[in-house]
Amino acid sequence: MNAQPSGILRQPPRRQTLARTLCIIAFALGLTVLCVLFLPVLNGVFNNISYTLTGYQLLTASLRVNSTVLALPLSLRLPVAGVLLCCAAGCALLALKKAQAAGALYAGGALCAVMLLSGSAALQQAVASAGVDNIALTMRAGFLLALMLPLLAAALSLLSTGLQSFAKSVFLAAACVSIGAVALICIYMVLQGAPAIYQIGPKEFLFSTDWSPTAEQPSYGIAYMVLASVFGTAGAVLLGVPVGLLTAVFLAELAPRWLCGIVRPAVELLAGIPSVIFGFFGMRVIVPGLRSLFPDRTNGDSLLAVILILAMMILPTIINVSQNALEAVPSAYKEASLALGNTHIGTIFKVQLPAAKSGILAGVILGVGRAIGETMAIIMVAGNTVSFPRLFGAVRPLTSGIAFEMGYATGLHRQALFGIGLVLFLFLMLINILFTWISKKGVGEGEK
Amino acid sequence: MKKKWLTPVLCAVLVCGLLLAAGCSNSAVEGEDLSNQAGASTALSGTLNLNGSTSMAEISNALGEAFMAKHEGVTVTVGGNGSGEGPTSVTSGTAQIGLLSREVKESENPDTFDIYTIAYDGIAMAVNPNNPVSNLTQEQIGQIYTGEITNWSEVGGKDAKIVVVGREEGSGTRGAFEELIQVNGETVEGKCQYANVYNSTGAAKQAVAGNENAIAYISLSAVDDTVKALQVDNVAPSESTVKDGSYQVQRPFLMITKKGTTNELTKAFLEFVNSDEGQQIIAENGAVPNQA
Repeated sequence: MNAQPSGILRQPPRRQTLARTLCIIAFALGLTVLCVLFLPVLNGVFNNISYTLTGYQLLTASLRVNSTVLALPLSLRLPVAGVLLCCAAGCALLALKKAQAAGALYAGGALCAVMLLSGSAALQQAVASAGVDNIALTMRAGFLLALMLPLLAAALSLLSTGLQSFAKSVFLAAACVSIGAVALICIYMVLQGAPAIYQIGPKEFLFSTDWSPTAEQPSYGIAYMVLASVFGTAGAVLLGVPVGLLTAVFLAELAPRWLCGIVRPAVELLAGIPSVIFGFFGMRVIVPGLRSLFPDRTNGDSLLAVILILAMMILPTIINVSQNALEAVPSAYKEASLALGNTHIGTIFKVQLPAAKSGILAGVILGVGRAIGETMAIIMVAGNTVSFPRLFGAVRPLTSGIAFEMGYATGLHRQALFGIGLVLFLFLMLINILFTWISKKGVGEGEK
Repeated sequence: MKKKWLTPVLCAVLVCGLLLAAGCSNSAVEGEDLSNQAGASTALSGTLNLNGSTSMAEISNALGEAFMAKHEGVTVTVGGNGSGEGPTSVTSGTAQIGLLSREVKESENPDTFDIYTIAYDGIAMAVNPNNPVSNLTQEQIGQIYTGEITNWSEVGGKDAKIVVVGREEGSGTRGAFEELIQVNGETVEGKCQYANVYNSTGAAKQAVAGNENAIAYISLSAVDDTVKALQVDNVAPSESTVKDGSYQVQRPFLMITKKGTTNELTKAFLEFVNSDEGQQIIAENGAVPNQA
């Protein structure tokens, strides 16, 4: 059936009355949210003194704590104002018969109510810095009302436009949640990391090799860490891609069915092993192994150990995706090549692999993404000294650089760690862009 | 036609009225005192968070377990990735008690904390049990860590390169070690060259246990059969030599709280630590109790 025309007036009469009723209920719910002004929203017990704040007090009043007058943080006032304004606007739009926009505004109001929670965290910090020890904050009935009523009103006003539009809105909401999560992380990283990079100076941050954040004259240079991440990932790719690709070819083309039945589940098991187990394995097996193989050149904790572990971790990804890509190549290609007199192996390497190129590349990119972001396994085998990455020397890649010092870093040091996170982010975006460019090129050539 | 605009206009007026009212009033909310209410319970309950030094982890866990056994309804959690986390977590409020295995540095604002020394702990120089070296002077230790001595044969061991293992920069053990050990009259702070760095006592110990040529500084209370503790200036590390001061490489175990805290649970726990039972638990776990 085609998409239903939205708008109340274009629906059949019985539906019209139902839609109208829903609109009226949504309107009433929106107005009821105004009661939040008079209901208790937040209750805090600071040092055995209990404070209860209604919505109106959250907007206008301040607290007297420990004989100091504490203004409520803006992150507490703004969400309350947001809820009220969104609901009022939603009611107005309903009256103007724009149910979808009203639904969106009500949903925005519910979102503001959720942001009230972060406001309460800010209040807790403000009160703690005023010298209070025992803090217990609870949300009261008013908060639940401010959360539930707009959500209900949003659902009802969207329903009144018809089930099809309602379904579309639900999908839109789901997409917004995903985009919202990514956007939130990006924005937080940039807000925390960019000022640090600016203060340290981008050139010094990226290209200086001296990382000593707790020295008398702190220096924040991540060049060696960037090199360690790049070398580690490159090494893992150099090692893992050929092995993975050949395994995928074996599984897709050459293995007898019973062998496939053993190898495939083994590969999937490898994919499911948690990274800390890899790290443990590395620490107990690979590092002592390297130490006994090359006693004069390494203590075991080295770039080589990192590369071996990372190669093991990206193998399953590459194998799975490459195998799927190979199996998706039309059998007509293979049959045509064989009919023209090519050998089986020749067909695989000259016809099937090139045809599956973009799928294989996708697998490699996924593998690179995992390798760059791996933290726990690496901390256990890398040696963690900031020095030029030599194959048998200790290294500290970007991810373990963050994890190592996050616990005790304060001030500019902490923000510099966020700056490192930003750099990691940019790396991943670069790789994705590179991949898109290469695969577009590949598709273009394939179509010729 | 006019009726259509009535409701939106009403809403707009309502909103404007709200904003105006918000702008005009500015009262301060007073709270209601609960401490005088009848029926307030006197039993301790709640969660106590300890955060900071990994060297103090065993002792803090043991004290926490004993305290929990005495007070039902109390949960004591111990965590942390080094003494550097102690002051930051107490300041931010995520922990009520911070654990440090070194003195509070100037940069960490010691005046904002109440500092209690609960024990003294030796820093053991750990080597692999197969290492023939059994004694080093403080000067030699300093020279090993600054890179002036690079081979075990220079201090009486095998001909093998010394693998210098250390802790992360926020570590209390590292901080105390670098301030105590001196080369030519100057502390080795900022001059140490490490081959490998780990972020807990346990990981450093494992590195030494697995490498015949490694040396690391770990808490004396963490020494077990997997490593050998060297003598320093011919004094073997033990509780008695730490107590009488003959083993000089030692540092205090501190518990810090926010200055002037009134948290009942925190105060009760600190009382317990200073009681006979608490001191005995500390002694059983390899450190020298302060009150003994």
